[in-house]
Amino acid sequence: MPRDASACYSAAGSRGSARLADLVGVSVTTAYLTNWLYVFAFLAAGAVLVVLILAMEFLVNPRHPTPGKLSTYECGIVPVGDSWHPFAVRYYLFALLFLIFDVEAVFLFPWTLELRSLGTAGFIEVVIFIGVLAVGLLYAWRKGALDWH
Amino acid sequence: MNAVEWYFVLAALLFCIGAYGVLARRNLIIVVMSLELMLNAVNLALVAVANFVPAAAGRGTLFVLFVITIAAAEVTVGLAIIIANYRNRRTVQADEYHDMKG
Amino acid sequence: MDAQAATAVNNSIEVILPLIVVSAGALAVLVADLFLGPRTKGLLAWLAAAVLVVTMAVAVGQWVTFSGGLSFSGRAPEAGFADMVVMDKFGLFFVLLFGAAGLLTVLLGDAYLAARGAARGEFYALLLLVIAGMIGLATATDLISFFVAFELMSLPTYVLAGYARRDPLAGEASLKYFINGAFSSAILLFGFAVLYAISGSTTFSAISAGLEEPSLGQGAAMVGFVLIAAGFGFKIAAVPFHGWAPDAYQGAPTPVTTFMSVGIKAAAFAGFLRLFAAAVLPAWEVWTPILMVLAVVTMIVGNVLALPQRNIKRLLAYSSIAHAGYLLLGIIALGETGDQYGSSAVLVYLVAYTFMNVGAFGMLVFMRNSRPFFRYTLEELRGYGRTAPLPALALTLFMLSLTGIPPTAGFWGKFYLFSAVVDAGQTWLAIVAVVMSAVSAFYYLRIVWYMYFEAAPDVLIPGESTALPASAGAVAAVAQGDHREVAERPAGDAGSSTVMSTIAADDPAARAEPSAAPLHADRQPIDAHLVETDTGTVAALLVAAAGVLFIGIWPQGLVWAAQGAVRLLGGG
Repeated sequence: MPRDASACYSAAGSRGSARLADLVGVSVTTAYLTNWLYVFAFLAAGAVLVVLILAMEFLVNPRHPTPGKLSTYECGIVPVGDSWHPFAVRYYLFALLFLIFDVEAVFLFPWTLELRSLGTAGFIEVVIFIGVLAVGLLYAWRKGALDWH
Repeated sequence: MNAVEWYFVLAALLFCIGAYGVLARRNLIIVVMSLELMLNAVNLALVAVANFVPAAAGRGTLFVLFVITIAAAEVTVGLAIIIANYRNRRTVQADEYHDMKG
Repeated sequence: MDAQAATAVNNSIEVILPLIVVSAGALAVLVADLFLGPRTKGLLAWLAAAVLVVTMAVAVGQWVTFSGGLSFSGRAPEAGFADMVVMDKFGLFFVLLFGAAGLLTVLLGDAYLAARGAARGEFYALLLLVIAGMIGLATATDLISFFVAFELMSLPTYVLAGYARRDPLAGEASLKYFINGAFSSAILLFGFAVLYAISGSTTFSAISAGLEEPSLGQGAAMVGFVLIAAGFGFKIAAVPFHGWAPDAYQGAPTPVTTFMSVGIKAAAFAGFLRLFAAAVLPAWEVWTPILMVLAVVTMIVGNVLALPQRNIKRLLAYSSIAHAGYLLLGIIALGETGDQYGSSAVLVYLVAYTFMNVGAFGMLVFMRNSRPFFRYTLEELRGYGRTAPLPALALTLFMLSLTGIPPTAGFWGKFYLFSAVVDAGQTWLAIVAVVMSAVSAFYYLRIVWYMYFEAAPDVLIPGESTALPASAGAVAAVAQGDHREVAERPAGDAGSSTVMSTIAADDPAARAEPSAAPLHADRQPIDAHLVETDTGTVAALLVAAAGVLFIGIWPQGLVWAAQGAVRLLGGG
């Protein structure tokens, strides 16, 4: 077993070095790597463009700061008060409901990974699990927790 | 010290920060946040054991999934209780809840 | 799905059958509440009670199939869900105990909630969910299922403690209970993580094997067990982790306090008893001294702090702390000897404690229902023995039992616990316990003293004492939309059953309120309310009194059941 593994590693190594050689020669067989080159080129161009525009703005733009210009931009309206503003309690209700239903999904991901090996029994269990959540949702709905009054 | 012990030290440190927050802070929302920090510190410890102790693989990761959901349920119940209390007293400062003594 | 897997699934369902019944019942109550009109909400109590009765019937059926005793000619305990849970006699014993505690709470709660116009559907749904968590805790054989059940038990309890959400005291109780409870859960969880690191597993049997040759040192084990003991201590309100208990017990609605003091405590002991017996017994030298310190401090501080209390609810909270100290002796005996005598003593004590404490708190519910301005103070009990002889007699019985005076259930509970700890060679612990029991007699019997030997104050605020209850009764009855009954029952407390009318006839205090009158003018606003029928409370009190007397006179049956339950606890 160890012998086989080392052989495997060396084969992979040699194949990797071959690819590197091909890349230097820009070979057709490494087309997927050249695709990545486009991405990197795009990123580089984008970064250069940002620096260029900021530099032009710094060089060309006249600077006359006023309090209005320095304030936080909020849809063009002059902001009122500071950002440490208490929220209405009803936001919390939605936040709490979201929190519960959101996090329960964590059990569904492992199940999807083991879908086949768990079989029918696993499927029924997940249906029961979702059914219990649905009862919770039904409760919240009938109690009016989902209405915005 | 091996890797798992380092992770345990880190987890214990986070846990103690959380415990300090629960015991020392007055704002109830921050107290709940500190409780979450404590639970997540434990999650770190559990994942570390599951990863570094060969015999212990598997169950620790499973444990973390349950702790995450329980933590969510706990914070939901906690915030709901805080809101119910806020409606009665208009404050989230822990030291203003002192009607019962003795 | 192949045949073997199908068998495994069926088997697993059988293992958690009581749990399934209770959980499905909780959902059924929740959904039924959504579709029932305001006039039919009374059905919810019956539905919840039916769920609990079915659960107990299932448990009895399973107990009978486990008839083999030591040899288990019938059936061996069955594990399910990858060794996460097991169903054995120990689990079934506690299913029955929790079912009984739940039924008594439903009986106590219905009139209490109805009188306050509080929502009942959520109350029963939450109660059943708590019981589901408690059953899970008693049957868990893995740290993961243990913790999930622990939280399923705890989270709804925080909500129940603050169930009277307009009452600032209940809110404060709920808040303090939540913060302390969540804090202790986190501590317990860190202890579990350490235990997992030491033993390399989360399954109880594998932990037990892993602790024989731990991967980390003694110091790590020490830290882990201190953390676990702290989490345990918080849940059972052992000193120095008891800070939340008096406030939570005092502020919570009395039926909830009743359930917290008996149900949650019993479940915590059930879960940790299995944890200590089946998982960490090999490390007994590490955790037994920790529990000894906890037990001694709890017995002393709980009893001493109960002495100056004037509020009966708060007094019973401290008494409940003290009882947790006695109960710890059983687990210490288990650790010292390794045999199950201590465990069975804990089971006996928990049953006795359930009946006598439900009785004691149930008396508070009864007095609160029959006297609208009752504020749970000792002074209000003056003359109760004369004005209401039968309820006073019942309260006396429960106080004698809590003190541990024969022939009551409390005596046998203490007898088995203390003899278990003496058998374990820790006589000094038994001496401390007996001395502290003598101290506890002072505050328990003071309640009796106030009822019989303190004269009722002859100060009477004219008009208020007689007029208010009657008018409040009328208001309550009108609020119930039952005009016909107003004419028939002006005072609002005439019983609809023979049981009720026996006690109500002997209870002029229910109508006249002579003794509590001077305390009416209190700062604390109390909503005027009267109970139209208190049958449930009276029934719960009768059951509790019968239980206390029955166990007091014939403890042997309970002892046999408890010994059968713990026989294979240690992994078998």
